Amino acid sequence: MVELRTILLAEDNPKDVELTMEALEDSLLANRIIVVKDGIETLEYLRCEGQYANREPGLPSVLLLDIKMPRMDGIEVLREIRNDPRLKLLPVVMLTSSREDKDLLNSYYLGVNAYVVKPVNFTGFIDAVKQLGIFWGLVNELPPEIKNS
Amino acid sequence: MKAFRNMSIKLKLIIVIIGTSIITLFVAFTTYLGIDIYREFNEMKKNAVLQASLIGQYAAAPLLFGYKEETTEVLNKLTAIPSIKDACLYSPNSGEVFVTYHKTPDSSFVFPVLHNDNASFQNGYFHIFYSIKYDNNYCGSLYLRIDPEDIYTKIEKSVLLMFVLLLVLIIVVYFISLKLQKIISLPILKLAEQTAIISQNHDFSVRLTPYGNDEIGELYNQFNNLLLQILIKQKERDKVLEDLQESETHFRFLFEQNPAMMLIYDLSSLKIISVNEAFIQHYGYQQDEILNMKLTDLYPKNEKEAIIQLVKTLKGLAYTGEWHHVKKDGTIINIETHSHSYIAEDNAVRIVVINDITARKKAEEEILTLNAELENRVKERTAQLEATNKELEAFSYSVSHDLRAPLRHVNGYLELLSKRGIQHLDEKSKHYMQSISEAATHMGILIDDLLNFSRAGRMELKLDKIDMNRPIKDALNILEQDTKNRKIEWKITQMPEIMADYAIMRQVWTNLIGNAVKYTKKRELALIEVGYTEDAQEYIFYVRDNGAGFDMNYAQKLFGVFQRLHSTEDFEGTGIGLANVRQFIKKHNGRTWAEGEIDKGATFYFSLPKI
Repeated sequence: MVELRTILLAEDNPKDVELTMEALEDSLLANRIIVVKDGIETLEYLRCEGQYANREPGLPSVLLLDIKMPRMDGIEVLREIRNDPRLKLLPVVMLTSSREDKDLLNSYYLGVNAYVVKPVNFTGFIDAVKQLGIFWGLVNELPPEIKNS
Repeated sequence: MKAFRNMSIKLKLIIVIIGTSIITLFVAFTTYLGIDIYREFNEMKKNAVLQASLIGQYAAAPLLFGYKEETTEVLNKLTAIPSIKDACLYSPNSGEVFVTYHKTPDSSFVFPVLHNDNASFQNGYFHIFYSIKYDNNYCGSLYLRIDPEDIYTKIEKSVLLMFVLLLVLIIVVYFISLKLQKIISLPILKLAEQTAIISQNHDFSVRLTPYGNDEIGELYNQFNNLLLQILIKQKERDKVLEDLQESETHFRFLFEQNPAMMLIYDLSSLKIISVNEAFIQHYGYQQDEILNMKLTDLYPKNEKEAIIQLVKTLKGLAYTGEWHHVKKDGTIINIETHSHSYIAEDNAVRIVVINDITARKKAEEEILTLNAELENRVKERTAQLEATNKELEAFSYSVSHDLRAPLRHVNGYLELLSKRGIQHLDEKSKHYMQSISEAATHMGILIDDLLNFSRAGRMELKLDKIDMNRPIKDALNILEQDTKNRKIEWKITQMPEIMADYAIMRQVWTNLIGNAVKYTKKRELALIEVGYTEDAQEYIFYVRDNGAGFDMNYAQKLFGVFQRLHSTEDFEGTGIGLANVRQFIKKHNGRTWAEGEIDKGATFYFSLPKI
């Protein structure tokens, strides 16, 4: 049996969270999803700080990162992650409504691993999220540092 | 001769008259005397021959018979004729001198040998040889030597008389000539006198009255003519002088009273020679004060050397640039000058027209300040605009994000709802749900279009030389899905090379050809023509179709955002395509327009300037 690793979902909109969870309901992935509500919380989780100070250590297999979030946006979070020696190898996938060139360029410039625009159409959305979960949660081979964390 | 030439005409005339008279009289007298003397001599000769014949008659017989005594007696009768100095008779047989006669007994005269009959004048005496005949018999010859002293006395008397007469005549002639010369010399002298008076008084209006119609009279007329000519010339000259005077006054006024400030200075010494009233008024110097100044005195210290150097290079008319001048009260003014060289009284001088540009300079500075301010303001406004633009970008960004999320949610929950129990819903409810879904999807497309449009406006052009055939080919490929099941007759012209953004051109052609395909979908056979025209400034591209067309009254609305002239039911679409085309073409400095008629098709044009 393949070991399932957690997927960290940074998403401030509860409806999006609900729909995402709904999309992943059928698959085994749903149970392994951890949701954080903004950029600060995302970093706290990854660094085991604040409310996550006592959590079980280890990094998720992927961070699904929304760009537009309160307090600290997704681009800032990505920059922090790539500047943090402990986090910089973490796979990050942008999952956003924005198709803006600026966002795409910034993301790739900062070393994002993938950039997915949330389809307006629900079926498309579900498909996208499912594929992401399967790919990053199952298919993708992680670097040893993260695997062993 | 020279002395004669310098004599007065009067004297010349007198000399000429007297000289001519003397010569004439002398010749006349001499001729007369000559003739007289010749006649006297002939008379004497005749008399001598007569005397000889008389003596011969007396002496013929004694001579024939050789009677010496009688013969001598005959000869001695000659004492009655004092002019016969010597005489002799030759014997008829021997021809020897037979008897002799001497007026003066002691005469040593030697008689010549016998000669034929002859009368000659030799050595101051007459010599007569005469053959004496009696009854035609030769009886011997007679010789006479005659002294013509009577004739000499006569001649002497005649000559003396002649000289006396000549003298008297000359005196008479002199007095006559004194009178006569006046006829000729007087008019000449008068002319000379008048000429002297005229040349002294310069009065050319005098007229001479001629004494007659001779050459001198003619000379008088000519002289009068000459005077008239001189008078005319003088009047003309006076007129010219007057004009010159007027012109000089005019030009002096032009300089003196010219409202522009003017100054004349000597090019070599730089001394100021003249300034006009405007200059004095403006600078405050007195006339005599300024005429003691040099050009350089007008300039501030730091410009003196430069102006000296500049003056050395000046030639002809020149703009001498902007300088500073110091007025009498010490005020420094900005000036600009134009100047020109000319020669005045043998000196090279330069006339300068001065323009006080202090006010202009100040205005220029103010303009510069204002410009700088304006530039700052423009910068500010640009910054504000940029800020506004950023805000707008932020706005479209949040629109993209924030509006799309709720739509997605609507769709998501609808989907979930339908999963849960759509089979329990009635047809109407199913239709409502379907409508909600469709509306949400449509709104999503609208939002996407709007965002694309705003992106098109902000897009930066990448101009390249492109072959316009290629974006058209690309567009046809993109549209293949829509055209593959249609009957379309294409007419596509070979396109030129132009300067444009390739990606944008592809988008433009896709939109325009796409529209043509879309609006001809109800035609059995669609006709779509893609072509271009050109002039010196621009290319005009067009897409023509035989589709639904449009009402020209709404032609302007065609290119507006979300403006549609057809219902979505007839022709799907949001109405953003042509707005994008206009946006794109505007970025290329081109124009967009359309022509059409309902149900007769439409033509969409766009122009691109030739660079």
